[in-house]
Amino acid sequence: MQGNDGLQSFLAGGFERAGIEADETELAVMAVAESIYRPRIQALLEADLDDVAPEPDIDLSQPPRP
Amino acid sequence: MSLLDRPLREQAAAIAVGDADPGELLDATLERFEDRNPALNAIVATFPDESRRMLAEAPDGPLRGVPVAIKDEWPLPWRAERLGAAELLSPTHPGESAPYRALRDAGAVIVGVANMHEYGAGSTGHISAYGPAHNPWDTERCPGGSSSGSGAAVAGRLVAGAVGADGIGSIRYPAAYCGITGLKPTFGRSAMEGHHLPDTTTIVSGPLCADAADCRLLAGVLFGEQLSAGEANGLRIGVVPGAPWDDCQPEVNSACRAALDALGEATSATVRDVVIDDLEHSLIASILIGQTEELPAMSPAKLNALGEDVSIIARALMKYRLLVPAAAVARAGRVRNLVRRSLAEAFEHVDVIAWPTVPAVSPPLDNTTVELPSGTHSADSANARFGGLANLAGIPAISVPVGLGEGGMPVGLQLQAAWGRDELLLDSAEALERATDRRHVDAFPALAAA
Repeated sequence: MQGNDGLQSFLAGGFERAGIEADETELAVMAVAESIYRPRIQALLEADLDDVAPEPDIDLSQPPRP
Repeated sequence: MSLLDRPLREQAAAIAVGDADPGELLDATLERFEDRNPALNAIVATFPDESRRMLAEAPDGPLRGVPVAIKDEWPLPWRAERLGAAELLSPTHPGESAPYRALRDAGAVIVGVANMHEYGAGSTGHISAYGPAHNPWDTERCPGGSSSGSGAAVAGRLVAGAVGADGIGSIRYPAAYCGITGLKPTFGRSAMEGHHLPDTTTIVSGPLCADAADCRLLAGVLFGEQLSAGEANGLRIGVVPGAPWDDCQPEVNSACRAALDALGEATSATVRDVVIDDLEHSLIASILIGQTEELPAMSPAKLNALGEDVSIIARALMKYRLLVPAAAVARAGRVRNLVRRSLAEAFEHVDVIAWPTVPAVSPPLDNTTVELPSGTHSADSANARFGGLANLAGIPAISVPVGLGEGGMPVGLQLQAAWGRDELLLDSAEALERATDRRHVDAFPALAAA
């Protein structure tokens, strides 16, 4: 994982391209969030979900259709 | 004991048979707000004229004349919701939300708007444009969130019932922190129209009350149907081995284990281990799905316009959401599919799945981290591991008070059931109350006993 300086540069660059203003304090808060959630997001991105069939027209009030 | 301290159902019954004057009850409620709310900051808006108008026009419903509070998440005809925030990404307007209509048609009197964690984006309630709500058990501690004011108002006996909303545990966390009962209904079963996220797939309205019988009454109003009571005999209880039980404060684990034993004995239950596929990814999946449902309202211009009256955490995290990889959100949907199938299979063998509502008791308002066997965590990330599954899958879940932990703060046990089995959760919660001689649901914090 990148150090905080590298991460904040990355975030700042991304926001600049998106036209979003983010000051140093906001970037520091995001770095904390990144340290908590990025490992989990990365694990999700690497998880083997190829065999999981989607639920078309999912109805969350009901169990999944067989 | 004042009628204000009696359950919702007893207030309704006393009014119905003429033993109580609802006008006097309304006045007494407003007086209690003046007395107790400064210490709790649970109620952030009152409107005595509108409340008296509701009472004057109240139909002969199941809550006729009974005072209730509603979270700052729905519009009322005289007040737009503010989501506990100083600025909103999209304008809100006064109106007749479905929870308002349900309460009005049941004859209830809305006496106040309850505080909430800013934008609903936290499990602690320590951040709000109105200032934090405080836990009646210890006003230096968090009441839980995001339905912070609803939890604190009921635990402090400002009202006997409040309507909250649950997106990733937001009814169950304050119920656990404040020692009351909170039901997260099956997705789609409770009144939601008028919510600022009309196409949410995670958020539901639901009741916070002292006990399960009151939750049954208030949930029935929100569902638009009477919820029958039954016996939870022969309950098949599922326990997920591992983190949901092991990575808790010891007092939380022991209180929940003792409650489960009592429930098992009282209902002649069987207890078995169950495995839920991909549980380890359900936390991030529920967060990704829940936190990206607001993205349609976000634009660079709106985010850039947020001022310093919005908390730095909210400003930063709303912007951070725009950098979440789209692939992760798509994969979160697959985790949802997998978890739902796994839960459906599990519920063929068990009636309820039990684990602590939150792994640690309420933290201090000025330090919202919790110490667990696995280390120090923010309360939000620790709590979401326990609450997000029900929102991800759409199943109902209930938090029931089962004892006191560190610092004399309440502990909650969470029971989750299959889609549509909300009544079974209420039956199970009532069985647990009986098995523990109601000592946890009838316990008052010192502030409310004064």
